[in-house]
Amino acid sequence: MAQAFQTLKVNVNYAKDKNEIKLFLLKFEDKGIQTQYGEMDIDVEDDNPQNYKYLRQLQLIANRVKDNLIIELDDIANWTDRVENGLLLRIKENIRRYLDLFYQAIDNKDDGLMPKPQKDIGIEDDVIDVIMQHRKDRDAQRSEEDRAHFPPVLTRRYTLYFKPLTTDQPLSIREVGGFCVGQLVTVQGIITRVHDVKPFLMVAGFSCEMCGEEVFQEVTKKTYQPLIECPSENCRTNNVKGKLYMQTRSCKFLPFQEVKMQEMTEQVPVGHIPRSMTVYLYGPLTRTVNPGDVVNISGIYQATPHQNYRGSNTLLTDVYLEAQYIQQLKKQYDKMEKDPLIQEKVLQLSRDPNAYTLLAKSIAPEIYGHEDVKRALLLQLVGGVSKTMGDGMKIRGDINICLMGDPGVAKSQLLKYICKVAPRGVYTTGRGSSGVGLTASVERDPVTDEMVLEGGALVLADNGICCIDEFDKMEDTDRTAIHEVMEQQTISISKAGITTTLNARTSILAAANPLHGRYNPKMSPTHNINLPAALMSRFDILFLILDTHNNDLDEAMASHVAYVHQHGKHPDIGIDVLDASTIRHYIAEARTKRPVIPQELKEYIVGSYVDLRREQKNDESRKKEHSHVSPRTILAVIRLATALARIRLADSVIREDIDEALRLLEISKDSMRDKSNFTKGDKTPMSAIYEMINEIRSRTEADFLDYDQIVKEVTARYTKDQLESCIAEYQTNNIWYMNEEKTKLFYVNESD
Amino acid sequence: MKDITFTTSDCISKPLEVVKTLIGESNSAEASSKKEYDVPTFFQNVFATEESMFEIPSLNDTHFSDIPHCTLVRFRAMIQNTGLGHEMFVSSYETLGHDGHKQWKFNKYSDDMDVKDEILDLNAPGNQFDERHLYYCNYAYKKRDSSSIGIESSIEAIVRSTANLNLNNDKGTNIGLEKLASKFPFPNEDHVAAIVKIYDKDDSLKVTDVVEFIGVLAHPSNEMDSQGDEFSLDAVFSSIPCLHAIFYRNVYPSGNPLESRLTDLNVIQSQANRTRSSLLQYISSALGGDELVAEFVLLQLLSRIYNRRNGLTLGKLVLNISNVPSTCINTEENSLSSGLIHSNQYSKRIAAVLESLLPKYHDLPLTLSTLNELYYYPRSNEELDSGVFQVSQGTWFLIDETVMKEGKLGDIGVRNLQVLNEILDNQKLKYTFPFNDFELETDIGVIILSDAKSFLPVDCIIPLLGNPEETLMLDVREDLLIEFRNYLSILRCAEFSIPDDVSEYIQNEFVRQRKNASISGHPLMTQADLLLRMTLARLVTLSFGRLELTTELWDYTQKLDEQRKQRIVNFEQRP
Repeated sequence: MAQAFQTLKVNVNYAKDKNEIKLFLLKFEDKGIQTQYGEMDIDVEDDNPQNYKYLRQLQLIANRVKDNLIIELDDIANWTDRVENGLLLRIKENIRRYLDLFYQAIDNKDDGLMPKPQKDIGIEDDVIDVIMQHRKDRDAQRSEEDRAHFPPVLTRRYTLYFKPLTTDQPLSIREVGGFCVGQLVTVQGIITRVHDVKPFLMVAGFSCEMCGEEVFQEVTKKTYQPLIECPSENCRTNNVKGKLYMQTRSCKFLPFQEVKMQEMTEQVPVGHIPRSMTVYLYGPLTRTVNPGDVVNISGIYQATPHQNYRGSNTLLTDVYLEAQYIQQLKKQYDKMEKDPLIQEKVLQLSRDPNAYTLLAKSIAPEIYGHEDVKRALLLQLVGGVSKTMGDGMKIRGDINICLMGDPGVAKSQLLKYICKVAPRGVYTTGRGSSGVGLTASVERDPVTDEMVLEGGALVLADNGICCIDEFDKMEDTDRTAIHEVMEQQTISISKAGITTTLNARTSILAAANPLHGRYNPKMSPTHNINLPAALMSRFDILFLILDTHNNDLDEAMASHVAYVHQHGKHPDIGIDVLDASTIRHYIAEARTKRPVIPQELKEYIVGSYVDLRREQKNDESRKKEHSHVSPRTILAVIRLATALARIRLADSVIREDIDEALRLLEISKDSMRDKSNFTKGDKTPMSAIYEMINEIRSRTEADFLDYDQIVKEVTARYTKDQLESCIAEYQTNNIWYMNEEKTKLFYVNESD
Repeated sequence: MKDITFTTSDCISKPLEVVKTLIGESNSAEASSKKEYDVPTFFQNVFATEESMFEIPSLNDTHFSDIPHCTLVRFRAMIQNTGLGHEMFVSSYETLGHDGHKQWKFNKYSDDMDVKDEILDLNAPGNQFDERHLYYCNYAYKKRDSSSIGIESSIEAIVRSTANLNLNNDKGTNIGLEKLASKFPFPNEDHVAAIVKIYDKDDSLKVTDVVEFIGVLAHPSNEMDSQGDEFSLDAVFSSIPCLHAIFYRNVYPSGNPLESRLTDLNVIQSQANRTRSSLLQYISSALGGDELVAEFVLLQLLSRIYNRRNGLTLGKLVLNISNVPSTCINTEENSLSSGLIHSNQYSKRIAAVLESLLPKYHDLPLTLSTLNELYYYPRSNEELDSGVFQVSQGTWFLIDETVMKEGKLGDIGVRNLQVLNEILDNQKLKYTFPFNDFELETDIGVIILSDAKSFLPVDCIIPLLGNPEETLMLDVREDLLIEFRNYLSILRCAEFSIPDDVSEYIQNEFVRQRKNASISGHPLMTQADLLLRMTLARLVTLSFGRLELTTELWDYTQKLDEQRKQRIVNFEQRP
């Protein structure tokens, strides 16, 4: 650290390099152009200036069409590939000097490369060009030594920039240290403040009151001392002190802009505050960046002595970046950047047949269980395919989910997690938001005093997910505002003279408590749910999560919690839990797909829909309906199926996708079945025993099971009565049968 | 190399000369090797003992104008901003005397030029540059002796603040100072601020770390811009002292600010039961004799974030004491002018206890005016301004919700509440920057006093039943207070573990309880309940001076939590 700034003593032959530069500018051939012209008649066109990239541009500059010349370091790299002489490295390390060398190579009076203009001054040219022409004309009549007074900067009417190598990796602001001074560095950051464009005096022009002589002074620093006395031959010989007056018209100004750039979130180490850097933009580069832009700025890292208030020098220095090249990365900073490392992970994951389960399990890993709910949430994140019909009608692809359940079943945690993973997730609570808060409002901007349209949670979540907690606590009037969003995906507002329709293409994830806070098993599900049917049908899936006692689950949950506290980390659940950023990238990748449903599957969907309707009719006759199967259900199936296809990163839906979609709907319906009798839904002793027997069967691999063995294993946890009733129950269902002696249990062969 | 000997007082009174001699010696001795003399190590060796350390004047309790320019000082402060970046300076330069005599000068740990008659050639090719890193640090004047607070200390505070203000009567200075105040979490409180310049790159120094810097003091340059209206950063910073850090050390590596050399864990452990009961007595005296609430307060005071991994934040315990009577003394004067000080008489009592026990404690009455007018979070436009919650780890807030009135929240108010929620939920503090937000991890202890259930997300609610008017605050001797402080601070950081068999026991208990509740139709114990109990169990264990959870302690915790739940039920059923 102590020797951060070593004085470099290098033997550089600048004259030699200058020649090399000249050669480069003269001879560098543009490959793109070459293939166009070159193949036709190489010999004839060999000396055409059109073949030479920089000569061509210089001609344009001479013709006053262009005013900047960008030297691409890539070109120099290609050029010097042939003759390895380290020119490129020298340019990068000592960029300021080489900038001058390039200027010299082009401008030099006698052997410069600047071609003669091919057209005369016309009316469409700038005033300065006209003045320059006048000067040139007058110059021609003057003696040689007078000419020397013109600094080359004055007559130069273009700016030369370097474009860095495309292979250069941008640095973060904190990585740019003293060792970078004088070098060409590329820095990445976000523009936070842009100052006004001001004229920067490059050459001050004076005229003498005594002799009328024009005197020029080149300004290289931020501050300068204007000349007072006329230095001309005339005044000196006459021994008079001619007073100089500044002539604004003969000065040369350059647009200048100061810009502040700040580090971005991912560049700052944990626990630190982002740093910022001052960037100076000159000439054509001004007004190219706006606050909020994420940019790569390449420039010369410079240091000048800091001046205190008295104007005297101190031992400190001010550092800034003099921009050479600006690359806009993206206009919107919330778009995701593709990291090759994560990209690789995503690719690997897409090849994994278990990707669906793995992704679902990685959602909110700290919450135990609820795997089907997590699957549905994953599908919501991915979303179905939205379509726009020829007549302008839109069919939404976003999947809306409602989670309903007892307090304390981690609904809110699920919501918050989804909100964190979704690229545009907004979390809000029903109690805390009015209809306006969710939709949009008109506000006065505190800075500019302008009226601005402030998007509420739903508008902010456009193309994202809006999570609304405590949905049931919302006022009815506010809830109706959501109806429009959930089906039409727009928000219409008309207030304070602004009438507009805003897009709100958002999925809604709502969480609600049952009526009276807890699910009351003595009441019917419709009573418990307490949401209007119009709203209910707009949710594709509704899950009822109840907190009931269950030995196995409780045990697993307790050990999970205990493990977390004991070891300070999540227990190993057999798979590598994917982190939020990987999931996000995978979803981003999945969302680029637009899978279609093949013709042959359409009938299958229709068939299953008809089945659902029939089942619904049966339920109705038994007065046990819990949810309504409406035409919206078939849309839900299609949405879920396309989302599943997206997760496979496939371009078409397969039968398994539809089956899984139907299964999820079935689960969601199942969760709402009557909980008063314990035969369905939850794991009862009967189904547990059935599973145990099944497990024994898979172990023995025989056609029949030994009853004694079953009794021995099952009665370790359940009574013999329970076992017998289980066997009887499943016997009536034609799953298995016992032999007469009650020693063997036979499975009914599926193929029979 | 020759032995260079300097006395401690040399190092304090003329550190720059010492440094120059050291560097000069080494340079002449081994000119070939470019390795610079290791000044920090030299100084560290000189001030190896705490006693020698105490000889160095401290900026924390002496105003900088009372300490001569260019002498050694120590400054114990919180880092407010690490975003100032680095600064390049000329580390050695050549001067040209009028007689043409050239001379090399070394420049480190100072901003002053050692140039008198000579001409300085800044463009000399041999000039060496170096860089140093800037941090903005500040420190609150601590009124530790809260028992004797009275008129004296407040007058003292005023004198101090005027001393700060009267640096320069220039109008510009005042605005500059205003800007400075915004860099301190509590704008109306007194504080010392300094720019600390560090000569080695060290990314381990983080925002809100508390660090003791030992370095050379540079008085503020006092050069105010004559134009007065243009406020650059320099104008602000030139009004505060600057410290060129030679070396520094983290003050509380274990997060324990009171770590005393005299007491260690064993002593504390052996006395834990006794200290615990007298501490409970002390706390409950402020709570109207409510020992259950006192016990939960004690547990809360022992809590800290002890693990944070993949979105998991373990150890936090946000306690909400509800049913706190509100007896505001001056409801009308509840504006910002009274600052962040509790106005509820009852909150004051609790605050006094907490303040006497905790190293870093602050009041936070949650009124509409504090919510709407103060910033709770640090934010930056050009410069990073501080917010109430930009405090070092292990700071406590007593949030008083009883003074809240119905009304309208402005933009700042809403954001403040969001920030508060985020702290209570995840112990993360949002720093807002243009186009970017950063979340930094914090460890802030919070106790919320409220009338009914708090509207903030809390981990644990307990209604207060004691009658505060009935009891007198216990007057505790200073040595007992020290014992309390040691007890809290050391046990708070102690390592804790759960043996496997106890873990098994807890799991079985949980399953059994859910089963019983399911049969009897009581509400089931949820995962969140279990998580809370695990947190409480850890704190209970520590409070008894134990480091390992046992089944007895678990049962004790269960009983405690059951009592709390019963009380909530009773309280809700009360007419």
